[in-house]
Amino acid sequence: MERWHVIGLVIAAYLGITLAIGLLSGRRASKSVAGYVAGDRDFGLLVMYFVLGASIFSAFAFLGGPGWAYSRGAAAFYILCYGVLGIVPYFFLGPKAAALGRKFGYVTQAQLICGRFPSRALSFMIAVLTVLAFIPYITLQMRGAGIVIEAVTEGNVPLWAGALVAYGIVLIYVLFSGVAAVGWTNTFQGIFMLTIAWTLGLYLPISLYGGVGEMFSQIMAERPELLTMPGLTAAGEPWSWGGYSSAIIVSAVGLMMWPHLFMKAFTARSDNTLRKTVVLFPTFQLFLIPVFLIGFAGVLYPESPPSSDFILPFMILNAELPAIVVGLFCAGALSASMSTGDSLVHAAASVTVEDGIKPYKEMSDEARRRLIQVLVVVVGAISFVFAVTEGVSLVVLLLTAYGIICQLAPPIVAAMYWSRATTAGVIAGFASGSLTAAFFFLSGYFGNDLRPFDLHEGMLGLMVHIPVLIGVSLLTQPQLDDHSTAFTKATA
Amino acid sequence: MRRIVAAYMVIFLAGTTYPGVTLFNQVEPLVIGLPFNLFMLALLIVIALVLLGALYITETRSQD
Repeated sequence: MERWHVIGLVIAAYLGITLAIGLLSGRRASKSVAGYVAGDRDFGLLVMYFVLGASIFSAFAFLGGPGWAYSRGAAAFYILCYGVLGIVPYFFLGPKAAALGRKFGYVTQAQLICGRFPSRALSFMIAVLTVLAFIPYITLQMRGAGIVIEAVTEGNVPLWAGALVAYGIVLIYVLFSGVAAVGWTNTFQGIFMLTIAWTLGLYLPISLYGGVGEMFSQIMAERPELLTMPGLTAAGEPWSWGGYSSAIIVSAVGLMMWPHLFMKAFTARSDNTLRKTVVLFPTFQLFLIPVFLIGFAGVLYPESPPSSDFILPFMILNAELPAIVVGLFCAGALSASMSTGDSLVHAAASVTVEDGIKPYKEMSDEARRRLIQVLVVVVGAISFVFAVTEGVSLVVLLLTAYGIICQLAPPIVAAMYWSRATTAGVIAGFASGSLTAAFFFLSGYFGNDLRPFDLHEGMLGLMVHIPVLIGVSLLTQPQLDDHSTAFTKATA
Repeated sequence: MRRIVAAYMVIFLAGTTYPGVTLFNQVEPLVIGLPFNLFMLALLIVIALVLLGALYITETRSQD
């Protein structure tokens, strides 16, 4: 048996276990939309913790994190910073959204926004933009899975086949079990990833350099520019403080506005479960440190991978470890990709049906559930096409996605806390903010970057969005007191 | 406690973005093997964890 056969077997076993957990977990869930999308509002602390944690430990963190540390140095530290800032508001927003969800039967965040600001056009606009933001994100996860499998099987299983198998399994359990499968597989995958991140993050510096401190001393001597913030750009030039700082702010604002995360407020069993999840969330940020160590370990390594995203599988393969251990490490990296990907596929399909179609067309609960399942397959297929197509710049698309997603924050906050906000104000703010972000993104994309101080286009969007929302709301007729206070005065 | 957490978030934001971050943006001394700036970020996160724990205790106690 060749070395890559053993690795392949370990990965196959891992995929089998994931599939089994995914299928078994759905047996208890009810057949309703609330069961499929919101897990009958019955997720406990362990599952909630790993569902949120999996979002941080996506393929971006697991492959991109080491890749950034390896090629861009301290620029990667921004990933550490935004999580805490982004999660803390959720301590208050989450339970309040959950209370409103129970009261009015919401399962998506657009339903919450449009419950307060009734407008089918707004609901449709949010649905379209979130799905647009989701596709590059899912594509990135799929590519991540394909990259790992291709690298460790020495090219015997090509990227497209690896991504197809891994995501075929994701589709099966999401189709059968809905969000319950996402929750339980994420728990399994989360435990797996953490073990692997710590083991490898400590093992590599010790075996290659004789210790973590030793490694940094040597990098300091040879590549000191990598170790001070804001690090380097992808091209190897020093990054700007404006770019670094606004990346933190936009990611922090956008973090909990991703529908697959925000919607989990509707899945928690109790408000205290949500609060505990928020309290424990920073621990996941600390787990990113060993991931960075893996990337830094590659800096002074004599050979280099084909691209910086390959640094993790590259280091694993060159560490002279037994084949079984390599297989386990790769399964961990697959976990990171799949545990985020399943949430994303599920949320994208749910949002399309609940927010994009349902407001226009009456449908039974049964029909909606079935349509969501059809769309799970469609979303998966579209992302797969992008994932195997060379030349699509994913990182560029993903950065724009955050620019779109963070535009959901002002309407959410206004819906729950500001009784003077009006439908016209929210629509005007959301539209102008999104257009501003799109404008600055396109200006950069077509080679004539107009962004002041290198600020993230999402932040520029917010700087237009918030004043417009406030201004237009104050100029238009206030909402009826009974209506607005039902939202702003709702207590968890 | 809410005020303390809110104030800490302001400090956290100021301390992780320009110009606050330049106060500790240096490699030496290495602390538990990590560059000083990375160690400081980790420390900021650990403090946040402790404060959030305290916030949770006070918030849930006042509910009873």
